[in-house]
Amino acid sequence: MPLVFVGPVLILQGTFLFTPLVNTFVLAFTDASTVGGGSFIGLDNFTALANDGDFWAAVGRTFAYLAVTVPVIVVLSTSLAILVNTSLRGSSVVRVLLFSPMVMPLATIAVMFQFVLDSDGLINEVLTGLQLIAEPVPFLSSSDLALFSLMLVTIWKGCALSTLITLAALQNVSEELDEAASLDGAGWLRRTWSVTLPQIRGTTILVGVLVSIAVLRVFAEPYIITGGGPGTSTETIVLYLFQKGVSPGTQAGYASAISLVLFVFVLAAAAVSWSLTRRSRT
Amino acid sequence: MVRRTVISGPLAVASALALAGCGLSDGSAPSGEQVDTSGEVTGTITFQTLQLSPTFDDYIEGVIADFEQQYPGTTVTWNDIPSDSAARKTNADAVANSLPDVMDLDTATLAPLARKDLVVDMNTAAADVKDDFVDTAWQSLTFGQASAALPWYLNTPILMKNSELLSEAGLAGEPDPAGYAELVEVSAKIAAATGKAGFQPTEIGLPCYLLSLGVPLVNDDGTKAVVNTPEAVAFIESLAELHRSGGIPADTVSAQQRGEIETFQEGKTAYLETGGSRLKIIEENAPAVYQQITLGKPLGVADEGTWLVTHGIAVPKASENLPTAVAFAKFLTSSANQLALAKQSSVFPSTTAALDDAFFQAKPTDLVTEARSIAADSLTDGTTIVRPASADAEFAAALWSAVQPAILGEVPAERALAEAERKLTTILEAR
Repeated sequence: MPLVFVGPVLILQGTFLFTPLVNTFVLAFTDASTVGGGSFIGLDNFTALANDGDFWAAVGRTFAYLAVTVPVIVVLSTSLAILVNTSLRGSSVVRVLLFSPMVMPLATIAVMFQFVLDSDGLINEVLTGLQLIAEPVPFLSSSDLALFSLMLVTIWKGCALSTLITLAALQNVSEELDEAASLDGAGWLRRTWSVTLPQIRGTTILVGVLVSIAVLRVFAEPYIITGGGPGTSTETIVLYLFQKGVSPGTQAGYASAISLVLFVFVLAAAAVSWSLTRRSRT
Repeated sequence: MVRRTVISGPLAVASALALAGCGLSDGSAPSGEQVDTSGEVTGTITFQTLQLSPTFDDYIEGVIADFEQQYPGTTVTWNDIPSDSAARKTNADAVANSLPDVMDLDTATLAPLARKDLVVDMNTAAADVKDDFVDTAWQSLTFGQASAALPWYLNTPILMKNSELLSEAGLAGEPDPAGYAELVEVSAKIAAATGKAGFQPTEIGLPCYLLSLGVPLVNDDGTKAVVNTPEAVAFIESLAELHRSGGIPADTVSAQQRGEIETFQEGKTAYLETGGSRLKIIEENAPAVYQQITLGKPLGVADEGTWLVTHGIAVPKASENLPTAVAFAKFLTSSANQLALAKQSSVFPSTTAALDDAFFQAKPTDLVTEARSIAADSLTDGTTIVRPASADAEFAAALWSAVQPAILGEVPAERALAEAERKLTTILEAR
């Protein structure tokens, strides 16, 4: 009987989720192009990948992205969630502002930030107007700054959902414990640090892992705003994959091998999540 | 639990094998084989164009009706798709073995099909009409020894100038820059005098500039990149100098740069080398700038190297009705049909007979007719050059990405070009 309910979903999942996945796995061991064909070449794609300096540079950039954005998003979203959860005047306005990035498509956000960060964009106009700078800051056209500019976009977008998840966890924090700590003479900061935060530790870890997985797959920001440039300074793993296998490249087999390696990275992030969640429960 | 494992194991293996077959499916005619395109012209074929509907509905439907009338028993089913989804749809169709019988494709989308030998070689299938076409148009669709498509409509640039900006820079009445090296010099003067840029270099344009300057881009058989030459180094160094002085827009090198047409219609650049069809866009978006436009010959003319954009009509080898598909491709690209299309659009025909028509030599009355006359001249006087087929969109993207740090002044031009050559050769070797 349960199969009657689960069966159609399984068929749909099998067709549209697992078939492409297995197909990708198969293609990774071929020299297929995006227009078809390809023959079995064993581990050649993976050997080539191991020696592909451009790929490892993209991996390095993605992990640098991860190292900066994940802690910032976690700290910022936790702080914002606590702020929004506190009955302060004007917190309802903050709540609306905070969640607006969630309802905006990533492509729209990326285009918006492109105009904000251009050399004649909003930030440079304001800074020049205030006579704080003499020359426009090359947010997007400097190899040193471009990746950080993209991180800013990811942080802006990523905070909304993370804050929402953390806020949901804060609603379940025991008020009794907070009151008890208050009676013991603990101030707001002390109560937040020693009572509230430990109670939402599991959620904070979950947010961290979800953001890590999202950042490992970051694509829209570099694709739309900088196209991976200047040079290759903002080329992430997924953008490299896209360039090799989708457009304008035609190395479907090689791109599939890249996606499998990325899959392993994401799987590792999920494993860390599972392990940390288990530890926080025990 | 044991039983479940026993069942799911073989099931998984069977599924994997089935999917493996799916992943490796080819669906094309055997590589390198000549296909027989002779036979009776009859039956049904499908024809796919890129974003010509609804503007050219009457024209396309008229050509199809004429063909069906000339070859009784034939039916052509027309399908128009958006240009930006052409590559994805074509790739998916190739894998699924469901390519249309006759396809209108740009060279970038055609390239992978040609490299994999999935399309009919027009050198043999259309040998009887080969001489009708402009040679550079024919050559630009030639991949290796095979010609992957019949040339259809063409475009070639003209030079648009913002006369007000040039006046402001004290260059009113001065002759147009002769070639890209001179464009760089003039742009520096414009920047010094007005604070505005001369022109905006682009990813698509860069291979054309280099080709015009005598950089071969690839070796004779297209297996190795050749971009690190003294001419290329000098040009990239001059772009870096221009970037410093403001002669090109500051955001030129953010890879997803603002389109060069946008910066021109915002009055931020003095020159724009582009197809005449863009005049209409500028007129709609920036009427004030449109009023200031004057036209000149394309820059490549000076070095006998004006670029050419060709759309081709290709027939997949896997078509089930090759005789009719090839016959329709020839019919569509005939001089009469091409001329009719050119007369109601801003594109150019690819046959010499159609280009000789008085329509292209008529005295200019406005910017559009002037642009047509200038472009037609460069198509017929032999100054268009063939961009090597291997220097395609992927090549242009990798080259542009590699030289960006040099334009920014972050690395020496020679090192950037050596790196570009290494990367591009790797790409070419992987094909």
